[in-house]
Amino acid sequence: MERVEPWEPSSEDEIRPGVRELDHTADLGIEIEGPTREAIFRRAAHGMFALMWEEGEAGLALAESESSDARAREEHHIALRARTVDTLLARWLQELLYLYDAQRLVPTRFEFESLSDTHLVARVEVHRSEEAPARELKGVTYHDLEVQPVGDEWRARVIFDV
Amino acid sequence: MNKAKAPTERPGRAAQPPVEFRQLDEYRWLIPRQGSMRVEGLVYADRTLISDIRGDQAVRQVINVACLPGIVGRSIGMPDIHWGYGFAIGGVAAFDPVEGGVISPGGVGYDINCGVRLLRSDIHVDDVTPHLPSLMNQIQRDVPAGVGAGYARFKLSEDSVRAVLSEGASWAVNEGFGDDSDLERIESGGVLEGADPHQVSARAVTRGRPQLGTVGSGNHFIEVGYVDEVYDRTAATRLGLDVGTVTVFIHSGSRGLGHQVCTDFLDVMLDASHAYGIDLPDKQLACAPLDSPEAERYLGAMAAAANFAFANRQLMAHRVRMAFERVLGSSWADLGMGLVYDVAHNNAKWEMHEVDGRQRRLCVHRKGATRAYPPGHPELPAVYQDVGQPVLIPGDMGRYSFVLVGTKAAYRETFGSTCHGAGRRMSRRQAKKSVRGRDLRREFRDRGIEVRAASFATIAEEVPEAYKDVADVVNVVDRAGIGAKVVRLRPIGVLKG
Repeated sequence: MERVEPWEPSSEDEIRPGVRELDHTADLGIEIEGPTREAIFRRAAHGMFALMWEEGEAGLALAESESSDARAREEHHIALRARTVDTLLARWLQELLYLYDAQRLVPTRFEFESLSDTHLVARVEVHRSEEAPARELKGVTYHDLEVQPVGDEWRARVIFDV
Repeated sequence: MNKAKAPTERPGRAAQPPVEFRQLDEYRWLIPRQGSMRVEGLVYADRTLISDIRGDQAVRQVINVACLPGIVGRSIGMPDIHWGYGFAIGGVAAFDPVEGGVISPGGVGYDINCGVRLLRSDIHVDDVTPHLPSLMNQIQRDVPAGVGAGYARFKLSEDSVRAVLSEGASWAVNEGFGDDSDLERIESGGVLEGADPHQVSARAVTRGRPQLGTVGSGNHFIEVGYVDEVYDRTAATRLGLDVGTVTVFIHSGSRGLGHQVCTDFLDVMLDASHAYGIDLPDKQLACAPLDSPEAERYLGAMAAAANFAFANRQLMAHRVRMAFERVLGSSWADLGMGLVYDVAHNNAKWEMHEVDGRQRRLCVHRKGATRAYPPGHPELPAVYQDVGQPVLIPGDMGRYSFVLVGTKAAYRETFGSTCHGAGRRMSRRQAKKSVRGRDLRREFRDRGIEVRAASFATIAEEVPEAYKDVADVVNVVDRAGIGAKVVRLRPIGVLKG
């Protein structure tokens, strides 16, 4: 299981480690960088929840996973297939968004049992969030969606409908 | 609505050459066929708006839509057009099944049947002003708003959800939320035919169940206002909108249920596009031929979600009427709080239109565009036969909104459609920066507007200066003849998510 890393944003638009918010008139989206495909999938999830809760409260659940606060936690298994890695990333985020919207479940930790360009099996530890997010995401779009290796690392872009 | 004007280019994308427009007249800009466009593009704008639109990705999106199979007439952009996902927001496109036409969930949007509803009244604004704080408190108590806000008191049973999906607004009226006179003043009578609740996933139902009768967040709102200017006295009288009388604007859609239907079917349509060999310039344009099983399933689910939205707005209107009753001490009927109209701006519908000299049954996609039927159209109720369909155009939360009526020109040129709102001019972060350190609640109060909101962040992102002036947009459609101004409304109380 990952640990929540101590982190200082390197720029104003960095909302989580390796995740920058696209701040344009029309867009609400994130650009993600990471050393591996798995890092992209994990960071994209962090980024999506950070967009919902915003600065200050961003990633509260993810940070809380380190605290001693013993909230009831559950584990969810997620298994997905897609034709391409970019649609796989979108479906992964759609799953997490659904868990939140339907059951108020916010992920605290992820463990990827397997992850390729076309399939994903993950265990996700979640807790029930009492606090409403500042912003609603209606959906994870396929518009301008990108996931690709660039040199030694991976990069991705996801746009949300708000 | 109101998504936004986009920047010229987005990071990581190669610069594209500017699109050539041919100016047809003061308000019409033609995009000639180029590349794999099957039809021309047509954008409605004045000189100022077109200079914004020219540099916008939205124009590329008008062109992309013009490349889809079976599109007929023109790929149309309204003056409030801006960058969207796949289809531009403010776009209209009609597809003919006989020519291989398609349906695309991205051409409807996540918020299926997002739309607006307007209540009128006999109450003079001066008579409500002293009660405004308590009225807004009451509305805030009675109509849940905000992210994921649900109705603790009103969670539908599974059976009721299925009934809502089939029956739309009439389900709400049958439950006692409103009366029959409301139904004839809703687009399509408040129910889309062909709804198939079985095509709505369990996930969509789970998301929607607690959310019927709730506003949501983002640009959705309930706004108490009054008629402050009349442009067409005859039409205004027919719509029941007299100067100085109080109105209520309600803007919301199908909530999480519709969002999930869109998500579910984008996946279906991605596979379908692949299976039917449809070349997609953008995955969000994923679509299927109208005569395919995938299209049939989506149309059934989409109509069901649209019905959920009609019922949602009906229920909210009821709650608002009850709040007025409680605070003003008269029945809503005595207060004259009838429905003016309820119209969608995110939909795809089967409609009859004349193209190339013959009547054809087309699937008209309106994404961020409002239906605007002319006088005499058989779908309009008797009371509006001679004036045309009311068209409701909300502005930002501080300035004004407009009521128009549909026109013959709109029917001829834009498949009976017109604009839908203002459109952003600032990014969300810019907007929040611009309000840092300001007491917004007080600023609004100084302007005579009582604001209630579930979240300060929403107000910060939605401040009036974050939006373009809706009057600029409305003036273009009015002068181009694809809508006719009737009245302007000023807000005095706003509930946001």
